Amino acid sequence: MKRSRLVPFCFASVLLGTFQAIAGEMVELRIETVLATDSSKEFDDRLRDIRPQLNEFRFSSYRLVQEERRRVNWGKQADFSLPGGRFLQVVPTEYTTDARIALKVMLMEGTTPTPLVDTRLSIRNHGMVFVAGRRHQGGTLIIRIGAVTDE
Amino acid sequence: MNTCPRSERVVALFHDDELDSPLRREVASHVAGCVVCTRTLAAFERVQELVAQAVSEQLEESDFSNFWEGVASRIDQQAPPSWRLWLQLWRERLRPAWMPGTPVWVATTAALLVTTVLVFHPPAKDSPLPLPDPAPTVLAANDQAQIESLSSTATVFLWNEQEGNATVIWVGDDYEGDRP
Amino acid sequence: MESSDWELVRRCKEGDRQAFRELVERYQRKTVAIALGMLHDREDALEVSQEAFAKVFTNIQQFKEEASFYTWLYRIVVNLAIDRQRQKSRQPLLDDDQGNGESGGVDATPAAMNSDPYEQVKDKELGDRIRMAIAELTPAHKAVILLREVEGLSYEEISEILQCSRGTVMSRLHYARKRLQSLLRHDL
Repeated sequence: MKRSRLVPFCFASVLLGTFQAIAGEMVELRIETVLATDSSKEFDDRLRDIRPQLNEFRFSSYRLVQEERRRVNWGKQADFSLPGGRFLQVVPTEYTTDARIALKVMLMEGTTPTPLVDTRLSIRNHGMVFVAGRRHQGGTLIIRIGAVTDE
Repeated sequence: MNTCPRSERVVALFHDDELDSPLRREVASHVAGCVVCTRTLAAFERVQELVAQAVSEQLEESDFSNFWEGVASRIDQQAPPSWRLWLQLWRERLRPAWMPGTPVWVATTAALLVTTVLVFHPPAKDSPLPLPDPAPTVLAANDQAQIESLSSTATVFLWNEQEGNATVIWVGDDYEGDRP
Repeated sequence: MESSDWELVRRCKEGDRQAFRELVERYQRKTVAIALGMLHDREDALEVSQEAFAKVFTNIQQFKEEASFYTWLYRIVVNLAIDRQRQKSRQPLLDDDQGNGESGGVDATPAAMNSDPYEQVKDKELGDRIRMAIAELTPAHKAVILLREVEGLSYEEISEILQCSRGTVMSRLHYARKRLQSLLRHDL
């Protein structure tokens, strides 16, 4: 390759490499809060992607009550307000060697001093975990925690 | 007594700057309009001020002029034992030039020890293989998620849904026992 | 330009005592502040801090750069202060009140915060009440409140120092504050 062509090629490669590194530095956290009840047969169409998983909870009705996506840097905390004065703190800590996103998750509720749930877990990229069981407005909350990062 | 569902927990995090910006803004505007939370925040601030003041008063009266000397003398007291100094002296000054250095002695002694052990205690033919390093503790795992640690003030159940391939952390309310 | 902690630690590992002295001078007030809050006695606090620095120097080769130097140092200070407190609580009390004697406890000299003598006495009394309130806390609660309110550390840093989860930090902080608020209710 001629030198005049080699220089822009190297520059473009470095630029591309830098872009990929930056893209991988962010994690998108996806929190969806579903209200599940047995009072009707309604199924919110916005939840169709996770219908198989929700069906395992054996409720008759599922409605998406809140949805939030946030892009954060590794190690940075993101807080999500949830129905009923609850909130969720999520910190993506690392991208593990087996291609999983490690998260620290805390669910807080009411005025109790200790978090209701304090957990360390890892999910695969584009994967999810559910935190469920708290009562809200005659139903049960199912919180889907998902995370995505550029590989 | 007046209470506010946001008080205490969130206000403490707000006071300690432990909320990210969207929730921080939300809580700031809530506190500005809530008497209970304003009072809670003021109490946190006062406690912080008093504790910091009490410690800094005592700190101001502390004498640091000989602090380093105190540290240095403690380090010297923790200096290596005399046998190590003698060994060093032997190695650097007294050892005759024809004598081998430490690595040679160590290697020779290790070889002799291994040979002795092999001669007197030959390995059994069915000796087990060394155990692999234990895997990190995982409370629940499937293709989707692995729960590595979990603590909760409520009753918690963990399970994996095989069909939907989902991991669930079920946080029970005290008054219900029907699910999961 | 001031060297970073990391750079000074690297030089210490090569046996550079001057680099270690810089680290000591950088952190001596902070470590003594933590120890003072834990022990309420200036002599004890100075001794514990010096001991902590000596331990750090002796074990500097084991320090891994991925951790921050000060969280490691503070952990040693907190642990030594807790040990010292335990030793002292086993000893019979020679003074009428431990920490209030001539050795530099809470009554040593009046706080020079205010030029008005009446206000000075009031300031000093308040300072004494706060110190007594802090002394009422358990060692774990004391450590968490001092690291947060005096050193201004984040929950993450405190959890690293005290080797506990962030949730435990939040919980301890909550109980410590509640206790202080109740003990100091007339001053809030």
